[in-house]
Amino acid sequence: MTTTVPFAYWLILSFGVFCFGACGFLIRKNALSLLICLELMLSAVNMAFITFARMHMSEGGNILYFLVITVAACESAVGLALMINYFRLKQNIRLDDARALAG
Amino acid sequence: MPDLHHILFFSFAAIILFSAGMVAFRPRPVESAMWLILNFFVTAGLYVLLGSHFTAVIQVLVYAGAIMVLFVFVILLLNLDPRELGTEGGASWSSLVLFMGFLSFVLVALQLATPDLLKAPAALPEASTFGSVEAASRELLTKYIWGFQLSGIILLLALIGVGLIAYRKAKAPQVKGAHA
Repeated sequence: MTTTVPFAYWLILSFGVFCFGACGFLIRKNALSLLICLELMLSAVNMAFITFARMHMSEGGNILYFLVITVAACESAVGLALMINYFRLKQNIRLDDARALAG
Repeated sequence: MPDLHHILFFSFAAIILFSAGMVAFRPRPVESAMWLILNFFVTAGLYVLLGSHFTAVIQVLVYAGAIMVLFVFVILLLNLDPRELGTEGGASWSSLVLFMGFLSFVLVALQLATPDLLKAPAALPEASTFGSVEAASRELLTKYIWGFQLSGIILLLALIGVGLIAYRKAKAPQVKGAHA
């Protein structure tokens, strides 16, 4: 099964999902929602990679997809571990309270 | 004349955009996580439409299966009081609009520069192996072997880092009721 939908539509869809992720990232105030919106943005970028791979009939986009999900897995694991430690210290995950480095 | 691919694409795209909006704007993290799982599943369906089957399987297994389970597990582990989540808003909307405007400018410029993007793509040749496990792994293990090795090192470093963070003894003054 191969697509007959123009690639521009795929790129616009990927851009729309990325915009939602970026908006969520900028307006959310707790660390968990921030990490979830990061995953959404990475997924949108992956969609663009797969579209370009199909467009050029090259496997390079698929390989980049694997590298991106590797980074996404590392980032979510480290981020969640940091968040659990922060929760142990402060008993909440509000980012407004994380001002220790703000000077 | 809408054919099956267009109908499938637009229905998948509608679900993806709706669930992405729910991920971004639902107040509680657990709802965001559930909508994100739906988003990942439907995105895998779109990858099948693109002919990239192996990637679709990996999307369901690794993203929806492993990473999101980790998220949901941490959300349940923290067991947050809704009052602890903090209020939303407070973003500077002007900078947000500026950022999005710049990105969409790049997208429009890309499509003006390559008008082929708006044409219907050519069908895959019969003998094409695009998206199969064999083609992807052959490229991964020959041409992109250094990237493959580096991703292994990154995973190892993340494992060590997470271990160090997780087993660290908290030395800062503890709040009442904290036992870890």
